[in-house]
Order: sequence, then structure tokens, then C-alpha cells
Amino acid sequence: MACSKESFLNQKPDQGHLVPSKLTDLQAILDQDQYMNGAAFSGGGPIPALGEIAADSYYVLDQDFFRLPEVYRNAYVWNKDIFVAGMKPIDWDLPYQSIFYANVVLDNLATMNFNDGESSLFNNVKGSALFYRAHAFYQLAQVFAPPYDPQKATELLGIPLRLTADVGERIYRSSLDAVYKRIADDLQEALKYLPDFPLVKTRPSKWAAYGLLARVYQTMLDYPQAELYADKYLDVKNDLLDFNSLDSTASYPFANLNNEEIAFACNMLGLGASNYPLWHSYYALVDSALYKQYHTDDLRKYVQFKRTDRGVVYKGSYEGTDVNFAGIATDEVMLIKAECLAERGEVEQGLIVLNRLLETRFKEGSYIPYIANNQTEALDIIKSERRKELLFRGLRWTDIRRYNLEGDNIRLQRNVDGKEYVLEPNNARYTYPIPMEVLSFYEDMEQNTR
Amino acid sequence: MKAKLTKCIYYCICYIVISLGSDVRAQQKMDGRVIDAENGLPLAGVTIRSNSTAQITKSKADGSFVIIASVGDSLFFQHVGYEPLHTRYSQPDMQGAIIFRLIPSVNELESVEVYTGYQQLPAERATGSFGRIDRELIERSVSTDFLGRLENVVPGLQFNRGDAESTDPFLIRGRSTITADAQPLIVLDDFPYEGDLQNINPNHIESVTLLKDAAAASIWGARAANGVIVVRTKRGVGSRPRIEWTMNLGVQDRPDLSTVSTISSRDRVEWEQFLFENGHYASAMQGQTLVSRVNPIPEAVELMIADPSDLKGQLERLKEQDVRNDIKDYLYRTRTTQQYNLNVGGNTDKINYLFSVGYDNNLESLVGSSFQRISLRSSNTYKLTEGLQADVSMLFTRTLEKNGDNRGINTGGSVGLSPYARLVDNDGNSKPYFSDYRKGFIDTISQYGLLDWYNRPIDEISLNTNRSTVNDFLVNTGLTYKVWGGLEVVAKYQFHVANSLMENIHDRESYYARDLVNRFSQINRSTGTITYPVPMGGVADLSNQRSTGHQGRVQLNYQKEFDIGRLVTIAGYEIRTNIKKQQNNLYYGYDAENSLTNSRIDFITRFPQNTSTSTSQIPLSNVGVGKWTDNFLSYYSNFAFELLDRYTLSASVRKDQANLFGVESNMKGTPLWSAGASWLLNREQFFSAAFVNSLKLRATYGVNGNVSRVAAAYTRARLSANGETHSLPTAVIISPPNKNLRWERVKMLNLGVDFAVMNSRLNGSLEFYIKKAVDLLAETPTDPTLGFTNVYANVAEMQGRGWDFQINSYNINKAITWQTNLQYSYYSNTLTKYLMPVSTTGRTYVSSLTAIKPIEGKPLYTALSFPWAGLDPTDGAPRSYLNGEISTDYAAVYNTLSLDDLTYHGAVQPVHYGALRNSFGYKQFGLSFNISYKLGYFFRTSTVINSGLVNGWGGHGDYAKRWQRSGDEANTHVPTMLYPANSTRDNVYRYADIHIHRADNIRLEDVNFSYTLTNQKHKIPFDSMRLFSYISQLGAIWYANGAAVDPYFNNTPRSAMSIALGVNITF
Repeated sequence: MACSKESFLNQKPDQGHLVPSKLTDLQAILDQDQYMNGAAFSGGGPIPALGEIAADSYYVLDQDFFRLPEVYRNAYVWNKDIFVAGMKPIDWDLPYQSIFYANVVLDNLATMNFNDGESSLFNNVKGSALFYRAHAFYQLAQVFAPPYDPQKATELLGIPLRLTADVGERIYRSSLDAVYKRIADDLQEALKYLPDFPLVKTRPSKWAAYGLLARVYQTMLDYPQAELYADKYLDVKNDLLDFNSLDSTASYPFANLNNEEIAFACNMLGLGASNYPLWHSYYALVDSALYKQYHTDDLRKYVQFKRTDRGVVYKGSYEGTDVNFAGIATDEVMLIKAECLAERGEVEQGLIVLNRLLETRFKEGSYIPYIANNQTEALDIIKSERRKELLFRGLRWTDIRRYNLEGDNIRLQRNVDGKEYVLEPNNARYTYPIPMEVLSFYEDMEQNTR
Repeated sequence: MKAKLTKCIYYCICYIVISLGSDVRAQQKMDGRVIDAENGLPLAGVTIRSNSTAQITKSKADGSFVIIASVGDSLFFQHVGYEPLHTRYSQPDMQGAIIFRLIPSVNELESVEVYTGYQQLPAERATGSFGRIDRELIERSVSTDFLGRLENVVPGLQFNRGDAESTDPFLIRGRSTITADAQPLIVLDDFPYEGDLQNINPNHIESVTLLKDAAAASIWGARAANGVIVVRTKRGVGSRPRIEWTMNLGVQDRPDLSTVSTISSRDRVEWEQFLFENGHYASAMQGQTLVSRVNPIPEAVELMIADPSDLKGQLERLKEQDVRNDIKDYLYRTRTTQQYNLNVGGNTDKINYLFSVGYDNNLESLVGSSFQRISLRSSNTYKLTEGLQADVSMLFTRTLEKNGDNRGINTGGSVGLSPYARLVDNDGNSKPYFSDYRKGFIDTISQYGLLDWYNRPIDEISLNTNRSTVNDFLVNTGLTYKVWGGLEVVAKYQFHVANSLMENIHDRESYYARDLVNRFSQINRSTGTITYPVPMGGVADLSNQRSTGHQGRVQLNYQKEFDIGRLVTIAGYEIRTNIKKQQNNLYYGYDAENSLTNSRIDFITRFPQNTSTSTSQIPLSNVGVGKWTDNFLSYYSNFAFELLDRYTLSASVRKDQANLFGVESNMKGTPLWSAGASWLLNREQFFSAAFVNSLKLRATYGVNGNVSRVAAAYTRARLSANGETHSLPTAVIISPPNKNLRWERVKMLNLGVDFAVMNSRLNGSLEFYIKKAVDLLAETPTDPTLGFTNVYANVAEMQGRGWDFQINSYNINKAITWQTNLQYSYYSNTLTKYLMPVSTTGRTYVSSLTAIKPIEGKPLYTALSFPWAGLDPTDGAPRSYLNGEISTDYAAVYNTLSLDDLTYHGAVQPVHYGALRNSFGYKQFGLSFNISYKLGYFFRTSTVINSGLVNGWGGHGDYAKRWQRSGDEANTHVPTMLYPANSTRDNVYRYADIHIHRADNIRLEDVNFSYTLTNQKHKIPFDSMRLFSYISQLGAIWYANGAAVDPYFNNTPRSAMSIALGVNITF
């Protein structure tokens, strides 16, 4: 009786509600591509848009500027204060939501029992959860933590590392070093479990984890490690998409996620928010100097852009829709590889890698390979091509922070309503403030000075 | 009023007190029998007292009694619901028994028997707060549903009308929860009714009892916090089969559209001209982008763009047209209702039976809408042996509700109808209306061979059908066994199954279907070939719901008489499970005639659309399956101890467990309980006020529970079969785990006095209560770093107090009778604790009056507004106050004005409400009318919104009152209408305090006129026949606001008077 009474009172009120209890349930939580990958028009996902919004790839017209929500206006001109009362800081909340999802999975994995037959599913779930969490930590660190300076990383404050699903977990900011160490360690750990290739592009894989590790080490200015993982990535698969096969007149020339260069599909968040500045059909106009850098034979000029009476707009993304793709793909990894080679003086080798990539971006037979006389020249070429290739992919902000750390002196400038705004290299405003919604819960959590 | 045998089952306790005193000379055992003077039925449980011996006895089930008395003794008979009888005891007749006839009391107070769903109680002995609506009152009005008949007849039951209806349609003693269900629990006979309330046929109802306070309702435990409405169905009466035939036919004219304020056609055309001249339609005129070619613009503007030679004349013609004529003629019609019901029943020694057949057929005032209901009921009680009785009843209801695509006054999609539009041409043929796409775009693209893309609203009514068919089946069985003495065992079981099929069908000819096909049609402009991702044919959205419920109960009833009083107690165990399953399906290529659907559809690919530059998937919303389970286990007990015929002490306790919070929380659950006492003051020796027939004081206190389903103990996720980009199962986490959840609880103190004076010609009751709701589930904020921004927890509290008052007066009781019933209720409550940070920005609170606003110290539904500083005399701009100064800085007012800066008006639900009913009788004629009042609450009238005028195609009639020149500000508060519009300026104006008005109103609810013939008096071939007419929707007699807006019809069409004629025949 006691037992049957228990089951009577334990019946799910809503069958559609799931109390996660099986590996397939956990896999389903991770496959929630709106929250874990920012898929489609959800406006969610683990990648803050504030970085790209403050970067130098675009501008908005004065009349459009005033239509932007206050948070985006603040970000666009690098104001001291960014967040406003009454508007949720989604750039913080949603990445942490995906971390919570991953933590629910990891917590459950620790307490559930599984049969031996489920080991491949178990491995995929475990590896994926670690990957997703590390990926979201990395993305948050690009915006809310200072740039990674190896000399200062132990002193600087990073972001809170939320590592369980417990409502009562103590939240505090870890050091920048601890954050990156955690990201790298979790990804290394994930490699033990992940399959080489994903079943669908929204799932993590060894392939994607190598790519992300290459990116993480590059951000940490650890070029040898970055090169190591770039190589591992390219060893798994290094196919490139020939842009000659694309119909540049189409609204969205790229095929859906089937693009063979994509290792991990993920979009920048914010599209669901109203008046989001980067949505191509609205406000963002491509920086004209940047647009001019594309050679007439460069197919990217036609595939990526559309001229309108307002200016040049970015057409749509690498994944074939109008959302901003910000996942991991082969072109980025090749550029990491090229840069790493050039960094350690292998100028020629680096340019070979770059030329191999660019050949697929130009009209057939029209590409003239780059040559460089020295390391600096090679690095300049690679950096400039990196910017052109990875436009609106959520990488530019991190790149500016890194380049400035290395002395590139990139000075950002905006003109709004006759007023000029400047962001000097290595300025404290390259690190966003922690939202007040978070700080209000703690007496001792430190704010970023700006 | 009439003794019912059923109550004997519970109260047939007969005992004889024989005094063996020494002085028994001249006294002997005497037999007598008590019957109802009107219907001759025996009366059980009548208290009989001999004046000379002071001995007391009670009558048995057959009305018989034995008493020691002497001839000539004076006997005193007392029984609930009957006039007390003092008479002399004369010599017995040949049969050996004397018949005493008790006359039913006209005083309703004493006749009341209340039923709680678990036991039947004489109201006289109850400690709690009960409200009772008897059959006469239920049959006084005419309606399809039963709820409507409870309105304005009992204090404490509040029906919200007008805008307030969207807060809570009806409540008992106010709302006492934030997130949980606020609707009172509806009990049909013995068990909660989980079906659609529309299924309950008012002709089946014998009485309705309201359980209002903790003591009355606490027996329902975790579902009692909102009060309980117990509906008792009819039983058979009379030893020979009795047939009752009722029918009524009603008509109601089309609604009055003039209460919807509308900009005149002339004003609208001129406004559009103004917009046109100011370049609002420049891009539409150039048509360089797809968007500008597609997005619709008003008809007059199309004319201005086309610029024909007789433009002026054509515009003049538009100015003369009024779309409301077409709306009234083609979208609305006279509403007709038909209701028929036949009851056949009887009551014999062995069986009580009743069969009912009911049929309703309503043609609603919106063309295309109708409602039909068939109800079949059989209710039987078998008296198997002296102590054993079996009950079996069955109720089958079938309802069919149909709606066409007819939005009445709201036709016209997101832009609305142009006031000068025509829905038909001069010959009455349906005309297209272009509110989705421009006609030019449709005509151009149609060259490629698309389907007809015109939208003709009148044709659409019948081309789209939204039909809901419900089959509801309820079976009740019960066994009652008298074990010995006062102990009785009752076992009851109810089975309920309801199947409903919702079909939303868009015919292949419907605009809905054609539009989908066309939007997705992929046109190859070089070859001219078209492919159709959305297949040709109709679209059917089918949803099937099945609800299955089992409820079982085992209960012990025990009664014990003592010299000094009586103990009445029940205890029971109950189990309830209700499972609801639902399936939703969407079919394309639907063809009803041949049962065809097309399933080869690509729902994944994002197709380019003909109407926009973005891509879209073929819609597939609302598809899926669902299952919901409600499991309850309950233990309950109830005691009443009646002392010396004048004191009653009562107590009840109940514990509920449910599958909502998980086992852990259930184990910890606190039991819900109540205690109460009543004192019949007039029975005290010292009480000497002769004109007082009855005076009762009572007090109760207790705790009831409420069920909220918003939160759960475990991590909850919801599965979907696919993701945005793949077809693998996905899960969304709905709530993080919270192991500390518990029932919401409402504590209530109730103090009451019931009185009857002047031979009971004046009687009534007055009650005062205090309600405190604690552990209310509300959201509480969390650090978003946790992964969620808030969780539900038992954190909020509310407190309120109220009065219920009722007085019945028999003013004249002669050839002409005149009776008056007055009811008054007051309830006001405030939120006393709320942990979620309350936004301090004022604008959060002004936009909706009917949304819950969690502000500590205020009612849940509160009217707040921006302060108004009048129009600027120089330019007619709206003004408000900022930091105490008059301001036109709209962004600052709108964004920074704080909660404290707002004007506070008061509650949005009535604080005072009630009704006054007068009934007159003369011979066979009867006349009664009911006047209701609702006071102390607020509503917001609508006005013209500048940006609405720019973006929409209609507008509010206040446009005509807009400020146009200096000096106008003295007569109007409507600002200048500008282009471009400033929506912040609009908001500062529309949410200003000038638009909030008192909603107080008094209205003549209804008039009932009847003519009753009985067999005895009028020689008709029936026992009785009642002809009646019932007139309702008579409108307001008075309302408080200066805006001349009836708060029941705030910018909505006003219902016309409804007249019903009916007949009720018994034979």
C-alpha cells in the first residue's frame, strides 16, 4: 500500500513535463538548440552580442541610432554604464542559462545508474555537457572579463564559474586565470568522451573541441598550443567550401547547416530582441573602408553583402539564414593556423595556408597568392584577411582586445549626431560591467572598473 | 420547503423519552402522526413537547410518534421549515392516531437545509456561513447555463462584468490567490465537477448551496480556499409519476454598436489626406521595395495614389459611407434561444426515480455562431431493505458549439476596418477588403497563376468553421447502510468521462487556406512554373481531448442523542484521479468531403515568401499530444455537538495529498481545519423579546487550502520531438527543483448573526469576516547567474475583510403579496507581503488595469494612472507632472515617473455589490424585478490614440474632440493629432488619470412576470401550469462616471434587451 500510494502521489501532473531520469532525457536537454546553440530566431544562446555590437565592422545612421534600445546605444558608443533598469541583461542571463542546462546534465550524470550498453550515449552526453559549459564560459569571458594577459591573469577577476545546478550554490568571481584554466581543462576532459564527428552540427564533437581549444589558446596568446589544436582540427577534416559553387545573387547564398566547413553551429544571441542593431535588414551598415578592402574578384564581396540605398548591408550568414553565425568552422581554424605559423616566423608556411583558403573565396583562376617579405607584413596580411573572412562572426571584439594587448594600437571611433566617440587601445571599457541584477544579490562581488 | 425523504436517510433518528416520574395519573401513551399540511407527506424528526409533562419526543420516518400525555394537554410541535404549532390533544380517531398538520413556514431562514457535498445540515444548527439558492429562485430566470442564474441572488457571490470580467469572472468573497486558480470549486451532488460548467443544465438543479467561510468549506480542504458552490440535482417527488414540462423561447435584438466610439468616415478620410500630404505613404506610392508594394494601405489612400480625375468625388463618396451599417446587417443578427426540458419522476416506498431530457438550441448574435445541448439524466434511489439503500444516477450531456470566422466589430485584422469601408456592394454581394496586402500587389502577382488572393470578410464567415463537440458522461453510484444505532456507512463512486473534439476548419476556398498556399508558392519567373510547398486544399486544425475521472469515497456517519444534546459526526477517506489527454493535429490539403489530407509536407525548410524578403517555415503550431494527471488522497472528519437545542459546537479537519509536490512535501503537509460555535439566543430562558422569532449568533475560524500548479518539487523539463534545426528530441527546463513547496492557505474568521422578527416577516443575516491568505505562490527573484531569473516559492500574503448582509421582508401578505429581498456585500483586500522586487517605474503599473499588480498595501487589481496637467494652451499637447512641475517631457514622464508619483484610484473589482429584488403576487399573477448594484471600483474609458490613427485604419470618436485651436483646452482633453505620432506622448495621454472613472452602477437586471394556474383552482387538465415572461439586459439605471460610458459595455457593443417567454407544466 505504501508503495502504491507513493507512486500514486508521484505521478507526473503533466506528462509533457519531464523529470530528467534517463540518458536520453539528458541528451534532449543538450539538444535544445535554441538555448544551447542560439538556433534560428530564438534570440537565445550562449554567445553575447555585446562584443560584436561594440566592434568596428559596422555603423548605424543617426536616425537609426536613436531607435536602438538604450542598452545597445550605450554599447555602441562605449558608455561607462551599459545596462538599464527594466531591461534584462540577456547577454549575461542566457549564456548562464545554457551553463545551467549543462550543469543539470552533469549533476544527473553523477547520480544516475546506466547500463553498459549505453556507454556511447553516456560519453556523448558527458563530453557535450562539458563542451557546452566551457564554450559558454569562454563566450562570457570575452565580454565580462578583461582580455587575457598571461602576466596578469592570476590577479585579474574573471567571471563566476557556476559548476552545479544547485539553487544554493555560492556564486563568486573566479580569477581570470582560473576561468581560462577551467575552460581548457573541461575541453581536454570533453575530448575523452566526444565522438570525432557530430550527428548534427549543433552537437559538439572532438572536431569542434579541437577548434574551440585552438581559439581559446589563441585568445590566451598561447600560439604553440593554438597551433597544436588547429592541426588536430584540420587532421580530422579540412574540406573547404568553394565560393564559386554559390549563387551570389540569392538572398542567402550559403546552404543551411550543411556547409562542410561548419564544425559546430552556434549563433550570436539578440536577434529575438527588438531593434537589435546587427540584424542586417535593419540598422547595421558595413564600414565602407572595410568593404573597399574586398577585391573585385573576391566572391565574398557578393556573397556576403548587398548594396542598398542606405549603404552596404551584410546579407546573411555563413549558415544560410539571417542570424549571425558565430560557431566554429574550418576557415577560422585555418586562419588561426596561418597566424600561429607566422607568429613563430614560418612566414611562407603561414601564407600557404592562407592562400589555400583564399583560393576558394575568389573567382576561379583569378586569385593571386599573397607573398610577404617579412613576419610583420605576413601577420598584417593574415590579420586583415581574418577580419574580412570572419565578419560578424562574434570574433572581432576578441581579436581587437588581443591585438591591442600585443601593441597593435587599434583605436575605435564612432560619430553619432555630430559627436565623436573614441575607444582607446586597452581601455578599461573593453571589459563590460557585471549587470546590476547580479551584483545586487551580493555584498562583496566586485564590479569591473570602466 | 417540502420534506424530502432523502433527508430522512441522514436524519431519521427517532427516540422516545419516557419519563418514569411518579406522578403519572390521568396520563396515557398516545399515538399521533405529523404531516406536511400542503402535500400530505409525513414529517420525520419533528420535536413534540407536552406542556403538562414537559416530555419531549420526535416523530419517526412515517411521521408517527408516541407521547405520554392526557387528553386536553397542550402539545407543542417544532420543526425546521415549519410554523411552530400549539394545539390541544383530543381523543384519537378510529385508526388510533391523530393527524397533526404543520404548515410550511414562509420564513426561508428556518426552512434552509444546506448540503456540503458530504452531509446535509439544517441551517438552524450550522455554525458556518452558507448561502442557499432554491429552485424557485433558479427557475425565476432564463439562461442556458446555470451560473448566470446565481447572479444577484445571494450575498458573497460576486460576478464581475464589463472590463473587470477578465480579472475573475466570478468569485466567492473575493480573490485570495495570485497565481493559483481563483475560481470557486463546483461540486455537483457529491463530487467536484471537472467538466465544462456549460454542461450543467439549470433545469436539473434543485438547489445550490454556497460554502463561504472556513467552517462551511473546510470539509473540501485543499480546494476550499476559493469557496465552494454545491449544486444538488432534482429527485423524484410524489407517490405517482409526476411529469414536468418546461420550455422557453427567447429573442434578443442585435447589439447596439453605437457604444463603440468610432471616428467618422469624413474625419478619417481627411486624416488620411493629412497623412498622405505629409509623406506617410511616400514609399507606398513609389513602391520601390517589396515591403512597400505588399504592406496594405487604406482604400482612400490607394485612391489618392491612383489620383483619378474625379478623386474628390470619390473621396466624398467614401466620407458618406459607414461601415457599421454593413457590420450590423451582415455580421450580427437577432439572437434566439430555445430551451426544452422534460422531467418524469416519483417517489415510492421502494424507489425514488427521475428521468430528464433537456434540449437547448441557441443562435448567437454573431452570424455563424450557435450552441446546442442535449442532456439526458436518470437518477434513481433503491430502498433495498430497511437499512440499505442504493443510488445510481447517470448524466449524459452533448454540446455542440459552432463559430464562423466572424469577429463582429473587430473585423479587419491588425489594422481594423476603415470606417468608410463597405463589406458588400450595392447589390449585397460580398466585397473584398485589403488589410493584409495591397490590391495592386495581389493583382500583379496573380498574373503568375496563383489562387484568388482576395479576402471577403462576409464570405469568410461560412468558409471557416470552428466547432467544438463535447460528449460528457457522468455515472454516480452509492450504497448507504445503517449498521446499528446512529451509525451509517456510505460508499460512493463517481465515474466521469468527457470527450471533446475541437475542429477548426478552413475550407479550401477560405482566405486562410488560399493565403497560405499563395504565400508559399514558389514561382519560377522565367519558366512560369509554380511549385506549392503548402498543398492546395483546406487546413484543418483538430484537437481531441478526453478527460477521465474516478472519485471514490468511504464515509462513516454517526449520530448519537443525549439527554442534553446530540452528536453528529462524519469521517471519511477519499481518492480521486483525473486524467486528461489531448491530441492536436494540423492537416494541410484538407478536403472534408472526401476525407483527404496531405501529409507530404516539408516543415523544416525555410521557404522564401512571396510577401516578404525573409524566409519562413510552413506553420505547424499547436501540434502534439499531452497528458495531465491529478491525483488526490484525502482524509476528513467533521463533528458537531448540539447542546440543549441552542448551542452548537463544530469542528472539522482534513488532510490532502496530491501528486503536485512530490511525496516528500505531502508527508510534511499541514492539515486544514476549522472550528465554530453557534448560539440560538432566542431559546434562552432569559430571552423575552416576543417579537423576535429567532436570533442566532455564530462564529467560526479555520484554514482552507488552494492548489497551484505553477511550481514543482523536481527539476521539470518539457520534451519536444524536435529542435529548431534538427529532428532529435529536445527538452526545455521549465523550473528548477524546489523541495519546500506547500499548499497555499487561507485563514478565515467569520462572525454572523441570523435573525427573524415579527412573526418571521422580517428575517435575514449579517456576517463579518476577515481573510488572511498566506504561503501564496509567487515568483521570487534569483541571481540570473544561477541560470534562471526567478523561481516560484510560497512567499506572498494577502489580507482582506468583508461584510455580507441579507434581509428578506414580507411586506404584505394578503390578497396581494409583496416581498422584498435586499443583499449587500463588501469585500476589500490588499497584498501585505510580496518578495519579488516591485518595479518602481510607474509605467509598469498603468498599462493594464486587469492584470495583477503586486504592490504591497494595494488590492491585486488596482487602477493607477499618470497625473494629468491638462492640454498645453499654446499647441494642445498633453501634459503631465514631473517633479511637481508641469511637463511635456514625455520620455521622462513615461520612463522615470515612479510608482509613488502615480495617481491611485482604487480597486478594479467592485468593493460593494448586491441586489434588491421585489416580488408581487395577486391571485395567479406574479411579478418580480431585480435591481443590482456594484460600487466602489474603477475602469478606464478608451480614447483616440495618435499612433493608432497613423498605423491603424480606424480610430476612436474622440478624434472629433481634439484640440485644434487655442481655447479648445477649456472644453477638451484630447490632444492635437500629429504626424509623425509620438507613441510616448500617446502613452502619457492614454494612461492619464482623466480616463479612469468610477465604474459604480445600478441596473435593472431583469423582470419576471408569471401567471400560474393550478388544478384545484382553475380546472385545468394539469396539476399546475405556469406561464412566464422574463426580460433581461435592461441596462443601467445609473452609473457614476461623467464619461457617459456604461462600465458593462466599455467601448464594446451593448447587448440589446432580451425577452423570453416560457411555460412550465406539471401533471
